[in-house]
Amino acid sequence: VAQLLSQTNTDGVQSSLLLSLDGALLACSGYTADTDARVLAAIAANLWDTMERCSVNGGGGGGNSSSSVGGPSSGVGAGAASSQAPAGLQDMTVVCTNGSLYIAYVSSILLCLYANATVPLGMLRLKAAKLADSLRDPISQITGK
Amino acid sequence: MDSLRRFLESYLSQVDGLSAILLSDRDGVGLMSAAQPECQWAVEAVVKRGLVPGFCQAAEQAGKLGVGPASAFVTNYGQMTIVLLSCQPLVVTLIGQPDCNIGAMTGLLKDRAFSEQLRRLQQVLPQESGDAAGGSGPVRV
Repeated sequence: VAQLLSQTNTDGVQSSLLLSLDGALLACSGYTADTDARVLAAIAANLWDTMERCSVNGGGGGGNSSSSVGGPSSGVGAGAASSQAPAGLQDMTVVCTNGSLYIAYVSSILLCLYANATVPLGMLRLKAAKLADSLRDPISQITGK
Repeated sequence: MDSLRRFLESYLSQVDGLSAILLSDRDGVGLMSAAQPECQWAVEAVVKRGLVPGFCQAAEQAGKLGVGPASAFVTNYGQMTIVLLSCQPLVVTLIGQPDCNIGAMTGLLKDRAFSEQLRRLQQVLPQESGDAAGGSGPVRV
């Protein structure tokens, strides 16, 4: 898995992580500067949870948050819909002064890409989409979701 | 107020896929909004769901990533894409279609007229101290 994740760590993308929805680090590849990868995973999961709770979709309910209103989502790459997807939120990008963080839901876990300021947001999303497409089926087989 | 609303409404047709603009403070209290008639429900949902306070809370957390303060969030909720821009003490919420032009939305603060309007509002609103979320400068794209 780490080798697969490392394929996106080029041209400014510094690290790629797989983490559970509760913030546990599952796999990591790359350089996370002064931040421990486990801390980065915990922060990413917290960011995801915070924004997912505020889901504003107008569709039906579902997902892992009983307080949000939203429909099932397919995550990055618009593949087969997952009945266990978080309500509404499919992916999010955090733009900071000196870098960016991209988080996407892939088959019941989160994919997180950590990049410096030189990476265009579109490229970050595209890399994540391609990586997610590669990971979706194997993860689905493992998690059974 | 009407002129400000008309000013915001002008951007709804300029930015591809942009459905609504909401200006609020960091507590989510709306100051001004402009929306296409069929998307007014989205603005109300953003306020009701507390998306802006959630963004501010998350932005404070994101400041601990080690890459500087967070200035914007781009969230894809499936049926809509929401861009939140931090313009302390304001928060600009842009609600768009799933296929909206995200680059144009995140670059809205670089628009001279738009940033000038925001600057005027920032001057009349009380500043908050000790804030870790973003700044009033243009969003890096």
